[in-house]
Amino acid sequence: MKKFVLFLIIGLLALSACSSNETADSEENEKVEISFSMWGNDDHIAMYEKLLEEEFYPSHPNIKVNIETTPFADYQQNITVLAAGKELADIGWAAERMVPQFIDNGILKDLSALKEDSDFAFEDIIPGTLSQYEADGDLYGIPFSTPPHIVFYNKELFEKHGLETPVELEKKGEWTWETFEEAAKVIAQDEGVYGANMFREWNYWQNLLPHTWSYGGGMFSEDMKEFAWNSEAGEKTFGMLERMMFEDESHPKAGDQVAFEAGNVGMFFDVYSYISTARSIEDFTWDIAPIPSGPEGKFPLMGQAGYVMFEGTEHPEEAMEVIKFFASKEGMTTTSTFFAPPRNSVLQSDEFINQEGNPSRESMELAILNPTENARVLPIHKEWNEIDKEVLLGLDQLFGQTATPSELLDGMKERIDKHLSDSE
Amino acid sequence: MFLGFTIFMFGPIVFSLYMSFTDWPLLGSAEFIGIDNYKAVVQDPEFETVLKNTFIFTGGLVPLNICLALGLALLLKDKLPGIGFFRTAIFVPVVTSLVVWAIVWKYMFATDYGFINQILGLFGMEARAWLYDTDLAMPVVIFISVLKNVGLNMILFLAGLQLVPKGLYEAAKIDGANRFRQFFNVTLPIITPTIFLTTIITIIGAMKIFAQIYVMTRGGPENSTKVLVYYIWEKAFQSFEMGYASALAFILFFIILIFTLIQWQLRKRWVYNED
Repeated sequence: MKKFVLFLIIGLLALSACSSNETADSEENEKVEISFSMWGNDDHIAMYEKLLEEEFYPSHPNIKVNIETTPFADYQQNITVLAAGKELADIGWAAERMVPQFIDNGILKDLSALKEDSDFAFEDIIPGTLSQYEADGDLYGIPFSTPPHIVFYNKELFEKHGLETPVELEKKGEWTWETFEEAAKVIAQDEGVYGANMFREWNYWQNLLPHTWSYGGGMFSEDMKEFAWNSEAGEKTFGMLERMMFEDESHPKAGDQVAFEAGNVGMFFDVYSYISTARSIEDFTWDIAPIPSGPEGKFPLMGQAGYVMFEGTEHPEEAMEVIKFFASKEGMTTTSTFFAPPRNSVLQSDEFINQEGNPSRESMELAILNPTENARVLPIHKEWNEIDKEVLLGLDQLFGQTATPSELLDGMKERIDKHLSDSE
Repeated sequence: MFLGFTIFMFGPIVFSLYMSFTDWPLLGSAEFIGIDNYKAVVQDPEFETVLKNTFIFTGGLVPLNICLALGLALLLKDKLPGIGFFRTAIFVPVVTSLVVWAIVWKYMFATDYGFINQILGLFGMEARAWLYDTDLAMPVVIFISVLKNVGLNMILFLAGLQLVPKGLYEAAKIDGANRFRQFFNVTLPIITPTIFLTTIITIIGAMKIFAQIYVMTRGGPENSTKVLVYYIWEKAFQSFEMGYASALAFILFFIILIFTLIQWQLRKRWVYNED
């Protein structure tokens, strides 16, 4: 009996190591079904479905697009696991941080044919927006959203404290990280109100980079072989965050539940697509402004997401048709409801700027159109997941006040340089 | 049934054992590297941290869970009016989804306006960053894990307590034993098989903790809650080092096996009333 129980326990232990497998159903249909993988929300799905119904299906009756969504946080991981199981969708979204890994893994198809396609008007796409999707002369994606990060601000909180708004300061050339920090401090005098929130989520640290860039620093050396954030500029950046969190208490601390749309944040950093949420705000008036500038100028972070075709698709021609349509002028005009378009003709168009619920043309120009020139994309590396993990560990030290900015940046350097040299 | 066991259980176990001897980046082919993964684990400083955290979690959770479960079973063993409600209330978390449980508690322990901090505020106490403080995060995870599973052990103890012959209490009373002596000299020895069972399953469960960590802390802050199964997940599905993750999984298997065998041997010294 005892032996049997022992055997049972060992058996249970062994079973616990097993994980469940997911199976995908497939349906046979006369039409060619193209699966489209993305991380968008219900509004995005509705927009794509409407676009397909009204403009694509009438001219392509043989194609049906099925949208599949995965939360952004799990997207890269899911795609990789699906690729290993040869279960990838035909086409999908890919954010800039994912592209080097996907190219390295060989799971993206070359879309260079679009360059030669006269219907596609490839020259209309702003060249700088393509760099993340190019490798060895091949093109692995077409961006559909290339927004510079901007500042959404609660106008009423500025008026209440008699402060000049970021747009007013920008027009006077005084919208700097110093004036930003001062305004945040004043706004935070109200109980339960924060002056600024630089992170969409508490661990979304990428928004710190424009500060470092504007002080002449950067995250890596030019050749990407060395971590370089442990510089004077980097210390200034982490020093500002530390000051705002713990001295001025103008920035939320890790784990604080805040949302700009709830009205308890003066300034909020995010990409243009947050506008879909901002448009529904009824309790207060808001506006947008560019990110503040530093001694070296203003370098907003440019988020990027693009359409890609995955290796293994059984219908490359139809998949290409869908991508071509989504990335066409018509497609991007519709998606510009939520995404800042990388097509010049759409970006400059009245349809994009004057969408219902948008801020004034002046604010759109100041925040979106003008800064695009100086915008920089994340300095992505194929070991990005590991690098991200190490930066988060450093931020934990800042949030827990267990290390000074200089100490935590030195720690990051030690750990991240190891990943950079291991990957060579 | 045998076929099912072979295909869905035995096969994957053997395959993952093979994987632990390979360098397999998920995409691409696996390269046989012998015991290099196991050698790398020994030299991995992060492994030391996660192993320590796993033991801290297990060491914190198991005694708390067993003592609380036994205490609740003793309180709820008699047939009193309304006792069913209390038994059910304590057992309900066992059948709720672990992920939902962790999400709800994550919000309860939120830094600024979380329920726990609001309660503290009522008593004039300062709000704490529960899940972002290296000293507090692990105790919080242990606390919510105890509350989640204490009901199961309580039920097992309730069953165990039914086995104690009433006559023994009467005999003890005649001998002048108070309730305290009755518990230690009568109840406890008789329910040692139940204590043995609950201890083993609670230790195994504790060493496999994952969902609470994944939902509430993601191993942070500063790796203070990064436990072995979370580390296995991270290596497999974030770093895509499948071979290394498999080696870690087998190391976890052997650690739990050794613990279980040790307890099995020690059983002879303290478990009575087995037959």
